Amino acid sequence: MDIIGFLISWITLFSIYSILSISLNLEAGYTGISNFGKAAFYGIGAFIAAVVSLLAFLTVSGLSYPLYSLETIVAMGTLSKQNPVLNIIVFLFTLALAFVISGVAGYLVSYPTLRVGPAFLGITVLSFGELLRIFLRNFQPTGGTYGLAGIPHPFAFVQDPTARDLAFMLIALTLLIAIYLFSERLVNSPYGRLMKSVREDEVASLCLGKDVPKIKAQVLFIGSGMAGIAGALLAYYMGSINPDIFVPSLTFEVWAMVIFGGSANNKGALLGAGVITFLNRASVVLNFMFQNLPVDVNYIRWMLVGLLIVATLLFKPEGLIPEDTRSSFVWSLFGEQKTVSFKERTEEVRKRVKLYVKKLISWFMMGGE
Amino acid sequence: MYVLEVKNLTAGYEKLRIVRNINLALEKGEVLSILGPNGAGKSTLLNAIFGIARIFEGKIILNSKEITGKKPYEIARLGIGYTPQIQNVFPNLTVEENLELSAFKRNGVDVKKEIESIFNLFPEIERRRKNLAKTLSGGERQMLAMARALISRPSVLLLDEPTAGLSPKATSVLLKKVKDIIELNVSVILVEQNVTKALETSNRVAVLVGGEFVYQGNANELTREDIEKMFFGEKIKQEL
Repeated sequence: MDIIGFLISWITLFSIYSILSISLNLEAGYTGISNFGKAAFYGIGAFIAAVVSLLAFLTVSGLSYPLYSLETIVAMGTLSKQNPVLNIIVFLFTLALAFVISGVAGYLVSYPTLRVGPAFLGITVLSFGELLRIFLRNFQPTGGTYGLAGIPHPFAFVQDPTARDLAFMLIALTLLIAIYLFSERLVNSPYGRLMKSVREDEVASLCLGKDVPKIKAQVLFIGSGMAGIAGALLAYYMGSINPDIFVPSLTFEVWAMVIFGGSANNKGALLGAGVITFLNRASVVLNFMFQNLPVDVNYIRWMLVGLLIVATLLFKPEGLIPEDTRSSFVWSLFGEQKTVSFKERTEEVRKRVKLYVKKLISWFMMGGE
Repeated sequence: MYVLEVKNLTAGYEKLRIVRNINLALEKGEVLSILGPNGAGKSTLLNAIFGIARIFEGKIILNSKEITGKKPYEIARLGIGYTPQIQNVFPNLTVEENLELSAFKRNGVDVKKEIESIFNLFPEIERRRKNLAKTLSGGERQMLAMARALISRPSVLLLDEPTAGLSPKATSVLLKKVKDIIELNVSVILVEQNVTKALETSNRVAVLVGGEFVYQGNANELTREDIEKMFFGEKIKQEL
């Protein structure tokens, strides 16, 4: 098994999904906005990157093939290796464009429903996502159900595939770090307090002179824009995209990351993304290694994700790293108690894990009651 | 000149008119208590003044400027502070964070200084400044809610039953704070169930029964018994 290849693909996907989970955490965790349409804004970012990069390369080369044609795919194989400067410029431009367009879409779609309850907003964005996906499935200029292929890799001019993937992984990781630092700064600023106040009580926020719908719209712009960046990264990483990647279950996978890691804590969003993308990558590898298994390992992954959500909601509803880290499990072990020896800490971990396993087993024995 | 004037106000929710033909005028540094039985429309009246309830007819004028139909955040910025009866603090934020939220986005304001001056008025919550609001007692919560409304330096403060569910001692402490507040040239509209305490605290009282004012006058001209009669007046009339 190619360990390096596995790690590179895992870290790249971890970076992309972490950006998504941080963006959802800003909306749902910190501001209390139930965004069930994350996949839509992720998809918009991906399609913007695909369409604009393909158009840019074809226009610069004076070609006029349709975007989804075989000729385009063949031409992109050569064109993307000829001009490294163009590759980088197009990559950076599409990232910025994906942020703006996805952000504006998030703002526009949600604005009419921001004054009503969270359920309306959740259903509206979920429906918008599905409508957009079905529209794209039937929209031939972007390839319909087949989608778009031949998206020029920003480092296509690098000969060695491992070095190419490594360079892309580093770019994705750098963007993740930048977005993480931005989010940390945002949530720890006066604006972050404002976001939390909207989550805690909208009426109380109104009473303080806060324009609640405007704050929600601003957060949705930022969150959807971040999802757009993640989508653009996915398009470049995969090289081809189709509308059926952006199904509602993808949104709920991101929700699972936030629930499992810990809502209203960016570290929790990273932890959730790390664990779930690891399961994702591991299932792909296992599927490849054990091809004669009677069950598809992918289904086992989905079962594991479901089990993780159920177990988290049952035993640690606030997630593994809750909002107030001072009272969290991780903090209690490694944060405050500097005088406690490592041996004692590991003993405490062992006890807690044993307790959780016992609880889980007894829950199963009781038939889930 | 009045700080706040309400003229022929009819307000409610959706199609339902809850308070009708309300007229009131509030002077600077005055405490007006609105008394009335449950369901009389006291909270609705405050919600209407603050832009939360629907206004069918009438005008609301704050410092000679009409604010009828404005949004709550605009009204708050124009100088009305509102402390609802429940859900008036952010439980998962600290006392200090709750206060900082009110001071946020006001130009030329030294937030730290403002908070310290508010703590001088409410020393009871100063020692809890780093604690989450959900850990405060009922009285401390109400004090935090009042402090938070005051930090934006309103000219009118609307207090909706601040003593609900509090012990007699905490009630006395809190109503004493209302008297301290008017020293800051803030006018107060106090909705209160405790008639005796309200009469002690306020300059004027207005009695609201069945969505209409049945009495407005000086607090020292009335006794608790008079007001109780007014509360039951409606009922007796209906029986007759």
